[in-house]
Amino acid sequence: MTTSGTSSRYGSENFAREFRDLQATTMSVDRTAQYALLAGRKYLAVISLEFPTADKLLYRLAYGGKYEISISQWSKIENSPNSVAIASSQRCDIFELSDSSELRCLHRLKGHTRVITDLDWCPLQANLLATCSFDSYVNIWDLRSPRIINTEKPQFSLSALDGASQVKWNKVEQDILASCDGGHVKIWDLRKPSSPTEYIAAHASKINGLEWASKDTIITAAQDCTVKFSRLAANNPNKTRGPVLSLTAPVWRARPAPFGRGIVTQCVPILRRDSGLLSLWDWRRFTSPVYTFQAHDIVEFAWKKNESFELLTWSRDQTLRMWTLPYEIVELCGGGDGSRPQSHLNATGDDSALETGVEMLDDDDDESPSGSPKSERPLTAMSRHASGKKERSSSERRSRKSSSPTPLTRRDEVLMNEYDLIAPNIPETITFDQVELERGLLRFSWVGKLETKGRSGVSAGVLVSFPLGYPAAAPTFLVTNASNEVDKNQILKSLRNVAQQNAKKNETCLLACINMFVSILQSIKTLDAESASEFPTIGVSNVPFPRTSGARFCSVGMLVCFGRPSYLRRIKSNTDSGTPRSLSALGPFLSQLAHENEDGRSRRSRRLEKKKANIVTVFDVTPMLPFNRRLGEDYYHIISNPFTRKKACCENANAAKNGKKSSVAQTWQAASIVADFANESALSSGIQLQHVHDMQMMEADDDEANWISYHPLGSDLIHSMITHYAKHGDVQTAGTMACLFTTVDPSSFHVGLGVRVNSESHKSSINQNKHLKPPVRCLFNLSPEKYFNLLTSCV
Amino acid sequence: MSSSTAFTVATVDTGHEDMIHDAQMDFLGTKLATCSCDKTVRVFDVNINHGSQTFVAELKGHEGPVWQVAWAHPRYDTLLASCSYDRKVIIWKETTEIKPDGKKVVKWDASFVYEGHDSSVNSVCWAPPEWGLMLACGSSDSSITVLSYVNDRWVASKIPNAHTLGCNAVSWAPAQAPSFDKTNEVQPVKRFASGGCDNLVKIWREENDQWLEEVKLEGHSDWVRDVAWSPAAGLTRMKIASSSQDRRVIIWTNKESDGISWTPEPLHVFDDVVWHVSWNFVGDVLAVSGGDNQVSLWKKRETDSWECISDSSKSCIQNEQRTL
Repeated sequence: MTTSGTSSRYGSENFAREFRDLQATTMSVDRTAQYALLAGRKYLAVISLEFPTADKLLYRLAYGGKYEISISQWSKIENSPNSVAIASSQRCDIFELSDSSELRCLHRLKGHTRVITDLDWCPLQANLLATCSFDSYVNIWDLRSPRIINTEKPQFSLSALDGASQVKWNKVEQDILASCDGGHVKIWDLRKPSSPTEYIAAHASKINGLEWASKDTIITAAQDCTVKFSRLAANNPNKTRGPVLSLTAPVWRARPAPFGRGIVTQCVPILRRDSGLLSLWDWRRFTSPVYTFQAHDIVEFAWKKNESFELLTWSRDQTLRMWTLPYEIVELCGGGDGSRPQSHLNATGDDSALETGVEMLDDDDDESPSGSPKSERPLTAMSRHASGKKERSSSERRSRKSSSPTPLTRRDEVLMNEYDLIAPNIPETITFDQVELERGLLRFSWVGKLETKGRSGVSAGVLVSFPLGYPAAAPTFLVTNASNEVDKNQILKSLRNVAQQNAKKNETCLLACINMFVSILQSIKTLDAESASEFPTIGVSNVPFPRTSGARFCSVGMLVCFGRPSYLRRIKSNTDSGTPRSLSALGPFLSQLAHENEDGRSRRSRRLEKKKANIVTVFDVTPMLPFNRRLGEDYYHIISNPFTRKKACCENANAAKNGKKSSVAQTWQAASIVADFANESALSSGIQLQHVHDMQMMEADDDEANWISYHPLGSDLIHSMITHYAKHGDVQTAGTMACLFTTVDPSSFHVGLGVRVNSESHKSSINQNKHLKPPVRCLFNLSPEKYFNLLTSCV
Repeated sequence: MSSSTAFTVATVDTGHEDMIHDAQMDFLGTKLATCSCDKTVRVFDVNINHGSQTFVAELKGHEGPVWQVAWAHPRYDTLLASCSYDRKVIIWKETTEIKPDGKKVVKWDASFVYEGHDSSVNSVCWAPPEWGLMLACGSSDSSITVLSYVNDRWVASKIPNAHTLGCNAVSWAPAQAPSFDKTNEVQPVKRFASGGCDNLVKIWREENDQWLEEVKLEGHSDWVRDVAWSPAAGLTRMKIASSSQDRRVIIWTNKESDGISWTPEPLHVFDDVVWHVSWNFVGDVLAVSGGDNQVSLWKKRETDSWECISDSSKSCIQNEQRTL
């Protein structure tokens, strides 16, 4: 079969069309593969799948149901009305598609008391429908019978005892059907409806998907991450167990592909994993998938056969996609006889498709390795694919079948060639640890050089698993032995990207992947050497959450404030949980920031806004401080002789009053009185002015010979004032007062304290004074040095 | 003392491309340094008399968000320390070059880069100038490094396992404990306080060139986000303010001035995480800021209780910010 233009892009979807407004929860494709029904709680929609109107919405019916639609299915019989069954909660509606592509409701089946979990049209007998429900019954409805119209009762009600999750008719015998509940499969014969004819304890955990592979083989997909093939004991009393496929995630569905030995599995989607992907397997070779569809969040999938096989998927993002399966892949599954007329195939597997499966399975009965699907047959022939022949006859197919060859697949050949080619040229930091090309496995790893400081280097390994469809199908990767610095997800993502791009072009990707891996690890190395430049989301749990607002007192009387811009403030206020403590809580937020920094151009406007918002405000808080610079400038600090002391005190009181420091002003007033009195008493005592003025002399003379001794109360008062202000942080008042009531030699100490309290030059001058023998003699019982120490300590 | 409120003297549009994590003015109140998530530190000349400011330099060298900056005392050269998520501490130096035409060109260069930490460095603080050039750095690798400039070289002295899980803040004690009397003056001791993820505030003392844990202050129930040792002005007692993830601020007072016996006093329980506490110049007003984007100022009453004298959610500070 020569492939059409579509196959030039391997593994990519042919079309993707979004139907967002439909909010459909199920999809089913009719038997002619002309129509797809997308059904949701709000609408039923019929989509045309045929060219040239492909992906066109043909008809939309407002359904307006109260409950979600759990399942829908088109009838499978040709030459009968094209009807579709739609189950919603306990009810099952049968609609018919008219020639004008309109849906008409024919029946409402209300036989269940709890939600319907599955339904299946009989593939052999039109009008026969099986439904199963949590109410533990499997109901068989015959839409022709008057019973259904009159009594709304099913033809049969099979009591499964447990709520059945799936029900499927046998494709060959019309009286046989299977249902499953929990890990068990029950086989029913409608000729003996009272009890199941057979129990198959297939799995230990819940069975999610049930399908007939042939007339006596059942495929079960279960929560225990396996897909099992089970044969009915009635026909094969000794060999009930078939091959087992083990996956890494619970399996949601496992359905036979409409060709060869293909099995499509769909895993239960697990967050942050690719398990939702669809994989195609050859059930004889379960070591690796033949093909993986890079489709995510699949709700439902179905096959369509045109010139090639196409897979239709409906995904949670409300997009209908069609994927063309490369012909090589079909061949690898032992199918793909293009000359055979197969006009239609559909989702839940139809008769004609399954004939193939049945045939193959039966055919292999004698030699099939029932227990070990891995065992390989001897290589009997060169790969047909290698010959490059594109036309095949059915006889060739049969001969291949009878000899049961496992040819050297295209993958192995391509892989070996590629490996031979690149192995001598790999970067020296890369080593191949495990080379099992015949199994499609290759492990390579990076070991960084040991760094100094005893830190171990970066290391990581990658296990590549090549599907049989390689190079048309992308390999899968597993990162192993990664050291802490390595971001496994980043590696996986990058490698997957590279692989998929190459797979689309049907090109090998191993070298490209290795190169990508090397460049990632090199970047990590530099990152480590020069310290991380990005926010990794791991390892920051003990780094505190960054401050985005703050206020800090700086210098003297400055308060420097910064805060979050207003738009961020709003975001914050929405989260009532409080501000997180650790940076790790900021992971997504930060990565977004980092992202913005990277592609700054596209977000220039946002950045401009940010720039505007990043403002630091400096406040002058001196009015809140007990002292300020203006007061320092206005105050008198030095007196030339004791007679001016009173005047200085009065001036200071005025200055304080002007500076709105009333309590300080009062203190100065009190001080002026003391100074006044002291002056008078000094005069009246007849002490020589010179004596008071000349400190050296005073020091030599008797300490008590000063004016203040005549006024003991005044001395105590001044002392307590200074102490009070010093204790309460008002060093300016304390210092000025100490200066005024201390005699100073103006020649050596001419700078008033507190004048420019924030100036370094003054500070040093004070320090110098401190180191000199202070030219100051205290008139109190306290050393003036203490006051200076006091003042310098804070300046 | 006064009911007058603060007024804006300068509004600086920093031009940072991302959120600001710290802003600090130097000792003289003429230079402003800001650091941001955009990995840069920016320096501005600010004239507080005119409210004018000029952009001086953008310091690039960090490879991660810069958490904090600190100005060294101007007794030394114009030095600025910054610490970052990239595990580095950089000490930037301003050099003035006079061109032949008489123009002064101010240049900022990294004069020293310390890379001895294994995780984010969250806090830097310069020691009082009396000790010489000395810088304490607290890191999330649970260690604290004290860098000192000795004989034209930077020497690092590391305190390993200072705080389990990580150190979030460091703050130096003033060089001189306030005391009135010269006779019983104690020998000046180098001390600093640190706060960390072990909910503790610890006080470290230098003894024989070794840093010893002197006191462990237990009082917070969650990570300590900031500590601030009050400047010793006048005869005010030694105080340490600590703020925490538990939304509380505690004032630790050392009544005996011995540096050992500390009495905790809860200031207030805030609405959100308290990120930052800062004492004013004389240590009588405390500025508190936190996750709620609010700033409040606290002052001790005569009756020994604390009162909020300004709250940005009500007062002019917030209004000023809103109008920006």
